[in-house]
Amino acid sequence: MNRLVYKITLLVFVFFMTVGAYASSGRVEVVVSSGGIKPIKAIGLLISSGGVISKGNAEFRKVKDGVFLVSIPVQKGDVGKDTVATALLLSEDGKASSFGEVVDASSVTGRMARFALPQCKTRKPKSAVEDENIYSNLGNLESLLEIRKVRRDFLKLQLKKAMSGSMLKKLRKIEEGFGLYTGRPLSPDLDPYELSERLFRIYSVIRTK
Amino acid sequence: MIIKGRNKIFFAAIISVLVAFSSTGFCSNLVMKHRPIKGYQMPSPGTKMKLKVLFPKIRRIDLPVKALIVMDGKALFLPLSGTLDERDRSVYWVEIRAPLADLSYRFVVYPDDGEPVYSKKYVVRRPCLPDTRLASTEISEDANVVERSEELTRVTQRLRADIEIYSNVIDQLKEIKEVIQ
Repeated sequence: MNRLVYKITLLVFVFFMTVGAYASSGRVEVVVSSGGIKPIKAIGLLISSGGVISKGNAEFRKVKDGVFLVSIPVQKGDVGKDTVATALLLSEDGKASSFGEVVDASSVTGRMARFALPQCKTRKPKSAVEDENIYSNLGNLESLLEIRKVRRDFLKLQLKKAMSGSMLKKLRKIEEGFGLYTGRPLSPDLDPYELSERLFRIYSVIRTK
Repeated sequence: MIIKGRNKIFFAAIISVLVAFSSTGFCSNLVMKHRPIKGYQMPSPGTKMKLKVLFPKIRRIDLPVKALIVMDGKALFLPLSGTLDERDRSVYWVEIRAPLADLSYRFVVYPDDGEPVYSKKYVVRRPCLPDTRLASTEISEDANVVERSEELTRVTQRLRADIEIYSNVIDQLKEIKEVIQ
């Protein structure tokens, strides 16, 4: 019996020691665009109202062309409630990339980097398959698809026309000037989500200046 | 480490946002009420969404209220517009674009006299990454009627999302044009 109590106590002690060690250190992951440089080193920065801690020993790995995931080692004393982390990449000839994203470093343990989030599963759509008029519904759906396809392609063309020539030049200049450039030139052919996000940031910056 | 050019602007912006994030103030009338949405309730990435904050104890719509926002790791500092709700309480709002993965924000109000007042920090994260690619309109020819119906429904829904985001992008471009021209 005594032996069992001893074993349980030991197990509880080891468990809390492990949890303590895990909570006292960890890593914060930051996505950085290389901006065309060939990185050989990554520097992580932990920024808080109390100052900036530079971490020269950050690891990095390529996640896709021009995009790297920098993993910054963090000790318990490094982060406070208001600490955010960012990083930049350095090339052999000393060129630096732009700063990467800014992430909340205050809860290091359990934090998942954006790239670690799972892809959403495609939901099975609710369709009128039980309907006895399924064949006429199919015809309607096909017409709807055609109409929407034409509408989307028209909007794409409209965007291409609006975002060209001097307007495109101005937008690129604003991105560059305000440090919003992400390494991929602005163009109407980009993923519309990326376009929406970049144009919104441009608008926010010029409106508040 | 040397910080140059555009990085300098970025660095200065981060520091100022952080200083704002870290300070706290208190003013009894400037109580802020805000209910953040859940990660799974976030609209499609890039589409419009509103952040609203209610001031139940005041009836003013001219207070300088701003939001310190970090959207997918990128910081923004946006002013909010004021309006009165059906019970004559002040509501301030700002329209943003839904992020791909996560959003954290804090409201700050600058009273006529005294220190700025900050709300708590809200963090919203999607449970999974949505697919942002344009809908492919290819429908499998050898699918049976039920499969074909489901596929058509799925594609038409995706096309509606594409139309919405392209419309938003065009509207945004018009707004930018108005400011820069």
